[in-house]
Amino acid sequence: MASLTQTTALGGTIPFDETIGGNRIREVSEAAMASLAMLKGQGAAFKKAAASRLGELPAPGHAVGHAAGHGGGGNHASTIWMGPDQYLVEGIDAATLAATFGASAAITDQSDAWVRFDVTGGDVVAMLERLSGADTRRMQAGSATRTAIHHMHCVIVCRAGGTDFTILGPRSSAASLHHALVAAAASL
Amino acid sequence: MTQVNRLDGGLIDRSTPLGFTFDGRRYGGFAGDTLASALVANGVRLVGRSFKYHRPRGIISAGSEEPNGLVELRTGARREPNSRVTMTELHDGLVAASQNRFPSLGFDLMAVNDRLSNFLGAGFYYKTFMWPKAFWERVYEPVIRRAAGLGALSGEDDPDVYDRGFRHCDLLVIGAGPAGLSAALTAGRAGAEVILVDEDFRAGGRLLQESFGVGGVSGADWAATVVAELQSLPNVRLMPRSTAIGVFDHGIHAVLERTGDHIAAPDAGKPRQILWRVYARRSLLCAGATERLIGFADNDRPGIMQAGAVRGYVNRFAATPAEHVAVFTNNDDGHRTATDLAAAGVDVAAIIDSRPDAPKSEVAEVLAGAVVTGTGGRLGIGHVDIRLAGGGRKHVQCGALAVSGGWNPNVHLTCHHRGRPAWQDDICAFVPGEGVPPGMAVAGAARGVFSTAGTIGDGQAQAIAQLAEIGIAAAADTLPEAEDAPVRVTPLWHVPGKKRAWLDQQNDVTVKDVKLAHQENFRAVEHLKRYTTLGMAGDQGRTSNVLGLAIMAELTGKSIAETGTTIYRPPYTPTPIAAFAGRSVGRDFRPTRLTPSHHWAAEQGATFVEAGAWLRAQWFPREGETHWRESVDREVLATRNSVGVCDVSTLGKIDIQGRDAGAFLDLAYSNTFSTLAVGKTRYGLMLREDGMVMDDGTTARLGEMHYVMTTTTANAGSVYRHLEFVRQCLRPDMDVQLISATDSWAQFAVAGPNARRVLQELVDPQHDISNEGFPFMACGAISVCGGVPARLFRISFSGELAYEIAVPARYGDSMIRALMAAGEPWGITPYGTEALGVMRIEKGHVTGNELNGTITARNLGMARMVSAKKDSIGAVLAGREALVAEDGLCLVGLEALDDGQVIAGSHLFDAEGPVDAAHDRGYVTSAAYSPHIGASIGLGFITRGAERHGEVVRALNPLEGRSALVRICSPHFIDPEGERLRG
Repeated sequence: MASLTQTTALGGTIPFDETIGGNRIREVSEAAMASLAMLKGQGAAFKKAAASRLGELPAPGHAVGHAAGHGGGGNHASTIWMGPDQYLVEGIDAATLAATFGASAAITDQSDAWVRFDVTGGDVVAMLERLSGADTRRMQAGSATRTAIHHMHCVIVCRAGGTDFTILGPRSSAASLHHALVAAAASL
Repeated sequence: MTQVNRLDGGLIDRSTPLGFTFDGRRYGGFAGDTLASALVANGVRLVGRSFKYHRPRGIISAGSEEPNGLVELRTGARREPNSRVTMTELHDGLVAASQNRFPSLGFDLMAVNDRLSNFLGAGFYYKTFMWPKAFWERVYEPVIRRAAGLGALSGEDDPDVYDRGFRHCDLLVIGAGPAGLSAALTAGRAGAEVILVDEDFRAGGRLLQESFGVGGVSGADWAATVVAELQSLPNVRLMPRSTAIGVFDHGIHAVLERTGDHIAAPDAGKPRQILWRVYARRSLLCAGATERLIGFADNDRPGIMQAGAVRGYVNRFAATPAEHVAVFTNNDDGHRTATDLAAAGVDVAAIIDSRPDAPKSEVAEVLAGAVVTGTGGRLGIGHVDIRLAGGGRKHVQCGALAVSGGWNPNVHLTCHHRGRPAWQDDICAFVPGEGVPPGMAVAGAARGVFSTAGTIGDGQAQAIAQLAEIGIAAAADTLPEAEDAPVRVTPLWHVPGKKRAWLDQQNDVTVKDVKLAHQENFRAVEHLKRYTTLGMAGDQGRTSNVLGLAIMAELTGKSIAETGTTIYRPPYTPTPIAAFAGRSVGRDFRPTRLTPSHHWAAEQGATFVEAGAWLRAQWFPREGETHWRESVDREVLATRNSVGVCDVSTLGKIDIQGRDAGAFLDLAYSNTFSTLAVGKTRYGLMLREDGMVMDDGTTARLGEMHYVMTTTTANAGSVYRHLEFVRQCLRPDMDVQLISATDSWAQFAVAGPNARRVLQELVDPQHDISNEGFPFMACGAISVCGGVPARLFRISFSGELAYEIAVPARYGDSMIRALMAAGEPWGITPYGTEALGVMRIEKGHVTGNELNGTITARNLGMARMVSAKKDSIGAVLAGREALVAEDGLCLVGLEALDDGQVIAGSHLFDAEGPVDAAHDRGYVTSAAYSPHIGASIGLGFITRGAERHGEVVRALNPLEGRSALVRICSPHFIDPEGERLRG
């Protein structure tokens, strides 16, 4: 029987990694992702399960780091606020979360729904302000926001203020998002 | 040519000489020059021809309001017409050419228009090009278009890139003159996030152009000191070469930064311009003021300039427009020009001051109470004719005339939310009135505070007030000493006379035109503007508007305050369309979505088609195939005869979980899903609230409280949005969560009699996918290729035995290759959207073509799918009387007779009878050549369709002049019993 191999969102076998000017753009493909949404009336069980595995849940506009589980999280593994009682969990696979949360949450594997780029360097804010209306200049570690980049629905997570950000975008648009990032980095 | 008019001093860098050409002639200038100042220094007075009359024209200003000095800049694909010389920074090798002249600037044949000016006054087009009507588009429009416009586009693609960007700040300061610098310094020292934008390349505004000092140093030095401190503050961002062009809602300002205009060409990948969206919590408009001219006969001769611009050229650029300069003024400011000219060693021929009480001057004779009645000279001013206070005449030789009619505050940005400027009598000008955009304040000359000390103090005070509103405390500092002269102006709008006196020099609007507009009852300012084109030029009337409406006020006997101004709209200065487009050009116009098998399909040479944002394989041409139909027919027949594979990942997939997931679907779909067994899939019909069909698709039940809905590709976004609306707004009580899973899965349709055999090669053996173990409409989680998680759905769009198999998107590329390899013994054939379309038409399955927003379930023959046992969205309104009428449209199949062709979009008429709207029986929604039937077939809607199978009707397409005889039949051209898909 045939065996299947994986490709990254950009279609390569190894993730894209390039430094342009003062900024490094790195595709992160190894991080598991899952959506986590509290089911109605399950607040107590949900919070208990969250506390046991994720620690503190993020407030709106924030992401809170946690210990990455099976699936890894690149350099970072966070729980990102996405909506009221809705989160995106990096670094822990859906099956593990399902075991933790039981019937208190709706969990959907999102590992293949997103392309993740980590952008780091001294000019990252200058690059991001060509792409997104989010106030990335004021974002500090733990800030997270949903935004649009060239009409694409994206999430920006700040890992370290001014220098270290993660951009999540739709996997099917990985090539377009990548083009936007590279063009912005080259335009500085 | 030497720089004959170059003086000593100035803010130019004489150690960096620069060369440039104008109309092919070489000239020299220095770093720090604008193209305008370099032309002035070289004694070039004639720079352009006017729009309508082709009058010779020269530079009149030193700022962005310039109406005359418009040139074609650069060459080749980078050539840019209508570039303002005053805003063009000189760089070495710059190439500029005059425009709107033939054959040359000095001798322009089109200047014959000037002789015909009696016929070409205001309203000329409206009166002349009325008859005959047939000439409107064929004759008049081409002629007018040829005559209109100034410079010409290169016609080539712009080789440069333009960026867009976003910035945030506490206080946006617009303009870096004395008020803006003072405000930015105050806010910067207070720790606020400040952005200071200025359209010039050097901060300082009027301080650079005046000779007086600030705080014991020159104005330019004071500005430089402030700039140095601002640069040292991390919370302050200075943006030179940046113009705030518009103010929008919620503190959003559009700022155009010219990052690459001052160099020959930007480096590769670097933008020429960036259009910034600046989100400011508060903004302070310090846009300064624009000097008015005065209307008098032949006041458009090259060499006639704003008095403030003349001193700007002398003080900042060390260039005088001529050796002998006369001054014409109605206020004290004109005298400053005389003083500065004399200080620079230029002869001041006379000061013509219209005020009888004009002050004396130490540098020249003052003709108090006198006015200029005319000018003379070929292609430039040579003398002025003066009427003296006592009525006598005087003739003064000069090479330039500096005119000051008072100053107009630049209120434009305050009007972008329909603010109305207010007239202020003591300065004879409009100042910001009611309706200034929320969050904006105005400081300095922009609100009529004209003295240097006044503007510096006002900038500080307004900054403190603006910051206080957002809870930032800023301290007042000791202000530097500076001139604090009062404004002394006596209105003089125009000098009456018989000859033409120009108001709007770019659009050639004269005092006479305003009088004509008045005579013909176009008296309201907005009518005046449109009738005469006054203020419709690139400067938006900054040099002309107030003059025009002051004259209209004179004519109507109203005050200027009553007359009012026209509204100013964005953009404040001309802005290239390219800047608005930004990166959204060519192939990057919109982002695309690629399927997981995209790279593989590209390797196969697939032709791609856009479907929503997706690029989908349309067909896969093979060697020897010369027409797309050959490829499509082959793909269809191969699938029907053996097996085909198609990437269907683009269909929307929505993950639905929760205890109320079933009940939620019962509400969203017209048919019932709560009763669907786990492991089964059902076709669902989704209605809009008005009862029309919104979308269709299959939904699978993967668990007790877990469903996956499939939507059509095009409606994936809108259906998701609709479901979120239902969840959040209509039934927030339901326990249900939604999330898109479209991108997560690579999904392939494997269709044809051998589909199961192919899949059995890949599906792990513990999963029984036999007909008994996995019957039609079954679904479930399985694994493939030794443990890769997958989902299998036994559903069929083609009408064949078919499956859709989904694997995580990361395996998509590998999966299509594995499917192709596994299917090789059966000749597996990849098929694209065209073959998909042919097969679904053959099977009678509907898509977006049929679900066009006007179609009900009943029209589709699916009335029974709107369950009466439960409530669902659209069920009630689907029962409206007209929607359940017996003679409603009904979905049918159509088969062309006599080798004819069914054309989508054709309308259906009875075989005999009139062809008009009253006899329209229906229309064709989809059409294809069916290789299975061997004829052109289609789907369509026709009244009483279910009863008319077998009837022959006409399908007419008058747009393409085509018609066909078609036979109505069942929409199921193939396997109506469904035996294939259950096999």
